[in-house]
Amino acid sequence: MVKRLAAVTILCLLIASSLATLQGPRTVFASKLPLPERSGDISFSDPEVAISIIEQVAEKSGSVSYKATKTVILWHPSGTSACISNIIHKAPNFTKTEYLPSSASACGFRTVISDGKSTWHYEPSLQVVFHMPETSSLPGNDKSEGSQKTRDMLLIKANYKISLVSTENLVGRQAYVIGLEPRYPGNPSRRIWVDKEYPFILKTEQYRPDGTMSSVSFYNQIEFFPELSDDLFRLDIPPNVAKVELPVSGDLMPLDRLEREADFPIPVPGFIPTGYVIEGGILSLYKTFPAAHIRLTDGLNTISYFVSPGIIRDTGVQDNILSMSDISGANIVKWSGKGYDFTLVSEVDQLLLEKMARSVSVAHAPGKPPQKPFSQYLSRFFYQLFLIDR
Amino acid sequence: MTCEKVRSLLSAYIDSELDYQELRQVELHLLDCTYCQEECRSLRATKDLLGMLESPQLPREFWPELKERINSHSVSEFYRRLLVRVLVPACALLALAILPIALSSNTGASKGLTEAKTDLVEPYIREYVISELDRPFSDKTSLGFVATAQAVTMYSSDLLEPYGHPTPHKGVTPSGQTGRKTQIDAFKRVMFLSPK
Repeated sequence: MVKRLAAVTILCLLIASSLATLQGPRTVFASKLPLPERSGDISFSDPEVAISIIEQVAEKSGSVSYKATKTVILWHPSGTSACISNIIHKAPNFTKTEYLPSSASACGFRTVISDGKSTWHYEPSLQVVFHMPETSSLPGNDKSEGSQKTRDMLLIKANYKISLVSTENLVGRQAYVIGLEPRYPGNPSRRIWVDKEYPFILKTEQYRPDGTMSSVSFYNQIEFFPELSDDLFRLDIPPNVAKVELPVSGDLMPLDRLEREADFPIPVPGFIPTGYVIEGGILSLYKTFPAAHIRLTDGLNTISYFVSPGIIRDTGVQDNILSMSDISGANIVKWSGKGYDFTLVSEVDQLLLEKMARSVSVAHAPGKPPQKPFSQYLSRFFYQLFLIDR
Repeated sequence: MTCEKVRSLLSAYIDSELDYQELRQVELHLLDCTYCQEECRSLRATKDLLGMLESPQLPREFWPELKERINSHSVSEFYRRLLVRVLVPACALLALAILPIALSSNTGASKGLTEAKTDLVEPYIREYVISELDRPFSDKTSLGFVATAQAVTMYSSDLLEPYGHPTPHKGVTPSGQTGRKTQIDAFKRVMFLSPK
């Protein structure tokens, strides 16, 4: 009897150890998550628990390979956009996303592949493939991804109340529900569902500053650490497809260097929403949109401030401030003055952006051309007016 | 779009009355045509000057007298010339002077905001979305969806022309080119309004 019991025990131990070995990397991540599995043991009131979870997500989510189907729904003033995508990610850098056609997304089939150095976007309906080198792969880019993450986490801890709200079952998995509520009004809030086993976000809900939901994204099904061949990340496209190089943003630089490279003085806002810091600037370039792009962040959100030498709008008069919204959920504020065009883009409350807009004072125009004498304009005007009768 | 067509739209362009497509086409043309740039600058300056003029006060009897004279069939050549050469331009001047004042009561920068005007913002939104990708906890699938949609819109609107000379190609291989130098050069090239 004793021998039988010992044999069964040894067999059980062997099975358990072999299972653990087969599961491989799972145990690596699971062991580093700080919380016990039983929700009864979780301290919901301790913010450090929630902070510890999101710190691991920020640091390690890219290390989780997976194969999944995901749904994204965006609510915006002009309606609702939704898309379903198939995603495979092979840690650390390979990601392939196939956006599937749907009437709700008004887009056709679309494939996006990133290898950590470049992103390729194939649009079969247009017979075109877009290529964009990733910023971090640019030569001379000394931006440290690690230090940026550390800074963002410090900012998030300072600017948001982070709490463990509950635990839930999601897509067949146990998840921690973490709330990120802004300490300062006018900022969006977020709720994320983090897998209990891996530092991985299973679902995200984003809310506008007024509390209405702006977007939700969640996995319909997910498989962690599947076998993924590198060939899956090769973009096979038919011949005679056009290739378009998308402009690269370049590296973030201090504002004085940005001003030197832009070659014109850059007016900055006198008012910056509480909690935000300027993280630097980049030169943004499209044919019609040469602009200095200054980025501000509170860790979780971004405010993009664009300053561009104006096209023809060199009257020295402050134009109307125009506010609009985009399908991305971003608010856009545009205005012109003294030879500049300005644009602010962010999910921050529109009133805050407009306050920023009004706080920009322009000392002088960027190389304003000399004004013609008043009499010249007046004589030209009357000349044109009296041509009516000729 | 030809210079002639652009010049016919300049007045509406300055008054922000063009629709999305026309606005795009005019601004693209203005980037390359110095003559139309000058025309636009001049027209805008004229309109600004008109906006600064005070409205002339017409006498109370102006309109009755005008009506009477128009109705009378015995208008002399002198009065006809007076009407055509002085009164019509004066009325036009008055209308042009009053119009900006009337409009500014609703849309002035100091007063308030104009809602939801469509403008050329796709590249800015795309830049913003790409910045958001750097943030921890950003949802890369939804941001990627928006960014790729913006790229498609821009490509369809010829906004990617300098980079997007569509050329047939046989296959895709990641390249190390950054376009950085080209970017700065092109940036300076298009800054035609800010000579240093």
